[in-house]
Amino acid sequence: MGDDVLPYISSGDDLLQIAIYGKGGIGKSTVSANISYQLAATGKHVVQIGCDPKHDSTRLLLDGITQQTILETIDDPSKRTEDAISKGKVGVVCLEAGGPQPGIGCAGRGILTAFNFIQENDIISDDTDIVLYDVLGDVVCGGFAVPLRQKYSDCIFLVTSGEFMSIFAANNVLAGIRNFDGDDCRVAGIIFNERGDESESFNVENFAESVGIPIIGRIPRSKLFAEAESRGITISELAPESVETKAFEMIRDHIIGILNGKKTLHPAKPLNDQQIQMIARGEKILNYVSDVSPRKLALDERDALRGCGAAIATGCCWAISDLDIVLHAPASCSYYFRSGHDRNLVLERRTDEKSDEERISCTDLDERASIFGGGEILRNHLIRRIAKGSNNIAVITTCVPGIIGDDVQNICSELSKTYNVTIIPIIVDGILCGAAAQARAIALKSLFSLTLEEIPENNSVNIIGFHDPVDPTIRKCDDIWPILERLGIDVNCKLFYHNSIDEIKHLRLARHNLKYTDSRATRAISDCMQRYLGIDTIGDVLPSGLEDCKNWISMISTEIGSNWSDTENILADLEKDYSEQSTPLKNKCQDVRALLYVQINSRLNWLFEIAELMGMEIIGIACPIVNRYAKEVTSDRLNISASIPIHYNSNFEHLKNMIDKLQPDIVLGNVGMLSDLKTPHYVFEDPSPGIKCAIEYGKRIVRCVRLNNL
Amino acid sequence: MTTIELDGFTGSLLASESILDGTTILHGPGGCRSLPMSISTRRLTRTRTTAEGAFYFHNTRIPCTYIDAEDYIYGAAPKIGIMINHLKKENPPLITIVESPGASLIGDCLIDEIQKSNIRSEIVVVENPSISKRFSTGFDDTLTAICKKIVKKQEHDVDKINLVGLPFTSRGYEFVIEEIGYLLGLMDLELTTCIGSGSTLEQLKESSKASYNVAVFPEYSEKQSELFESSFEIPTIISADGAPVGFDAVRSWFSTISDVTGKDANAVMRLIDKEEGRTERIVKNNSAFAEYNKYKTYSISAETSLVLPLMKWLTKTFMMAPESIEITEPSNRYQESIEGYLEGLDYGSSLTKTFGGEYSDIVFGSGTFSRYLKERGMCIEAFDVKLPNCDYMDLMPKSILGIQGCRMMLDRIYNARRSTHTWTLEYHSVPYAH
Repeated sequence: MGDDVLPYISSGDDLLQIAIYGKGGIGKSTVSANISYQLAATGKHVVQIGCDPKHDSTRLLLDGITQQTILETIDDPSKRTEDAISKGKVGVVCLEAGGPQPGIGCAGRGILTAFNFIQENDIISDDTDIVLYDVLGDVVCGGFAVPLRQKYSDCIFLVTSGEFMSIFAANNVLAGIRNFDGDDCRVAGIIFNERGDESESFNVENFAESVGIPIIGRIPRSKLFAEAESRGITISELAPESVETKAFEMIRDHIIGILNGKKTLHPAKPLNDQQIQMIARGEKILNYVSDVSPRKLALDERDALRGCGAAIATGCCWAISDLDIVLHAPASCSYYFRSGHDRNLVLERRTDEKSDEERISCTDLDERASIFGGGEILRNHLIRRIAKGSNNIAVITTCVPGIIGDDVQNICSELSKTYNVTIIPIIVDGILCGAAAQARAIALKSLFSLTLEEIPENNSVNIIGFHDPVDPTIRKCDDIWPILERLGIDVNCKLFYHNSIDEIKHLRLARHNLKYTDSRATRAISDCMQRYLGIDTIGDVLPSGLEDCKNWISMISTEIGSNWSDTENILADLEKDYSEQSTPLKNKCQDVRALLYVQINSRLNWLFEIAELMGMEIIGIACPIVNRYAKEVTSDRLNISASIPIHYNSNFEHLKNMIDKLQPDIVLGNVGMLSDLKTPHYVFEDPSPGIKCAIEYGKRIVRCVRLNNL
Repeated sequence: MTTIELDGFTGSLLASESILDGTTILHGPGGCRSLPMSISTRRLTRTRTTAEGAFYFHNTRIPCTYIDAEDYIYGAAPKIGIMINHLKKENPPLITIVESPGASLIGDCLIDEIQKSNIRSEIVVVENPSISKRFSTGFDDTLTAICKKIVKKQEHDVDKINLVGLPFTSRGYEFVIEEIGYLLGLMDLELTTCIGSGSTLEQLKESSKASYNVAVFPEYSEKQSELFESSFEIPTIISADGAPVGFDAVRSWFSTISDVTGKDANAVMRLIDKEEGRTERIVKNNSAFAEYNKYKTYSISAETSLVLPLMKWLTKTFMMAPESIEITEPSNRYQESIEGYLEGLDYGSSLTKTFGGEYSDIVFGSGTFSRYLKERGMCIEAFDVKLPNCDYMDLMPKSILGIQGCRMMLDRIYNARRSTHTWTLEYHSVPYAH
């Protein structure tokens, strides 16, 4: 016995579970049925479970009759569980998992569901000696890999012929086993189902030798198989003394040897792409070492995918009040997206707007749909919505339809034509499209397909990212609009804020875009408007604080060609307003030492301006990584004095160490975790554009200082 | 806006979160984490700890594997292994792993990862997350799975009783538990464990010492009840009149407990009589309020066990008529009684009317939708009896259950004011209303 092979050690329940994997059409079912027959003939209690959607694994044990599948039983409450369990030849208990129609749904999920059903209903009786799973090995997705789980299989056989694709499939199965087991030993051997091709023996032997797994049975090519098939019986029954049957008897004996601990099991050591190509070319693999390494997983704050693409797409569509939304999703997605929206509707007192009753609806995909596909559910749902009067519908897809591969695009296009309505498919597939940025791009591209080709109007702009702050005091501080008016700038559309389809159609009437806030979302919308509509965004973001406002006004005046004396007047008035409003803050935080804990992409000039006015000293800045987008922005955004130390890649523990070391009087920042600090702190959000909001934040910082007796 | 309901997947996550010292792992995308995490953090009274870094990402509850597109293709089970190793230092006594609807399609073998980790915590895996099923199904199934794993049969104490079927998503549940606990104390009964309303693992283990369970909303505890009956010989007491809502149903709820346990409920009955008498006196002395509130309409969107007692109480107390009755968690147990009662009043059609479709003076529904109806002038007073709700903190008892609930409902219904023009006209047409 080699170092890396082990005998089978019973778990103690005297049940041996065997999985037989192989490429579709390679003869797994014939092999499985014969093995079951042989084992049962020795007096063992055997259960054979077919795990191929075409459900023909057990027919040779049932006189050619195809039995009711488990998934049919689950799907149709009128069908009885006992009808999915048949007693076959020599007492073999026969089950078929079943599956969806080809090209629809998820057969892998079907296997998972069938296995759960078998378990929940205690279908395998306690006196069973051997359970044999006959599994399709072309695709080892999670569902088809279920029988590979240690819970289900004690040992695994690979059925292959000498054809390359068959060996390729066997190698894939080994890769699947390695994912579960690492170096553990569970592979029992290769069953070589001969096709009579030239050099097939060499190919299979070369593969077996390379991966270190023995060929434990050779089934010769024979016309007897066709005869047995046509009569719906096994060759073991048809010709018990034949060479072919002797081959199955050898495999049977090998299995009994495993059961008795006399035969060994082997680890899965799949070949890499290069090596499997060598097998295809008929080349020998010498000194083989398996180097199939595990994939790098996205785990840390920079890499992990946050948020949900479907939620982002829904948010964009929701802002367009005459666009109805159909979520092709499980009910939980609908609840998550809607509850936030409904809450805002009430909190913002927008209940007098056009009723959004049934603006959003959901196909409520369930487990059945995830097996058999949700295309028909979506089609019928859309037809009902159209019948109720929806003329403009966005269909947003989530993870489940993405995985099961529902053909949403075609359904939308077909129904659009049939009913002469606008149906915009937004195929984000939950997170399958990537992160929020990708989802937003997909949603916007789809929505901008409505936008007309038009000549832009002078000094007309789209405002990106406008929103109403929840805090009513902050809401009142928004003083950018009079400045825009004095500059002669007209607002064409605030995207995405209480829009209509008509506004989306006329987005090109604006010559430029302006960003109201700086966020991932506004940056992405700005990029998409440039890419899909050709509208550029001027400047970085609408400014907050005096200096930024002054610089921005000068810049925009030049850009749009405003009269310079008007601009000077605006600047003078702004300076006067700022001076009047900020005077009460002057020197109110004299000698107060502040530490900042801010996201790296924060805009802080307004804060430094206010701090200077108040006499507050900023003694350091710590920037935590909060998401994968943090790396997009560099430190030059923090336009500050070089003397203030900045610590990137900070975290809360690091902040606490800094507090211990620097002993600040106050911590200011825009990270929610600050609420866990004992040191006095104030958490702010990005201020609204203009000067008032920055001053309001200054007032709150003064209150924080005063009330904490600093 | 239309009414929306939490589903079984969320029910499953929140059921697991009801174990205060346990940890719920979500094996799924980050987007599926946000809402249940927020509900759990805000509704359960744990000491809040916020963690940065892997799996938590600046949030408190429900560490998540943050599945991405590659994970959907290649599988993500190793993430579970890494997370469990990460959790070893926290050493939670219970870890429940719930798969998201999408993750359940991958077929990751989580059990193997768990076995490899050698963690000492008890682990429950929910691989089949009740996709698009009812909230109560996911909630009940998951708690049943946890109890099956954790609770062991032990000797019963005749004075101990468990509370079941009161999910912590029920508004003001903590105050309700306090009141029920106090009233049971008057019957010489002690609350052992409140399953689903925030209990520790130790309390959950203690639950099999009780002689009985008593259900508040039986819809959320049907399978738990079956398990406790069959495995621990603990029957569940269920009032035929539904949840303890309104003075009569509160009486009935405690009488049923008394009948089954043989404990004396006289002290409880006296207290309920006293409280009801006191409110009646106040109302009598403000007869204009009482008269004005008669013969109005109400609508309810709730579980059957809430609908039955509530509509009986509204009819008896205010002589109000049902406008729309929407059953959100159907149960055969009370359905017939509800239909029979409404037919008896000749208001059977209210069961087929859309909740919020027509004006109704008083509405009981989700926090958000009922407030929406109030904002739109579709009702005078709105009671938040289920999620989703608007952002608020409840620092005072605001449940409609129990004696305090009766007082709160009476107070709000009698004092309800409608701000619309129609209301103003009606209001001034009653000269003595001031």
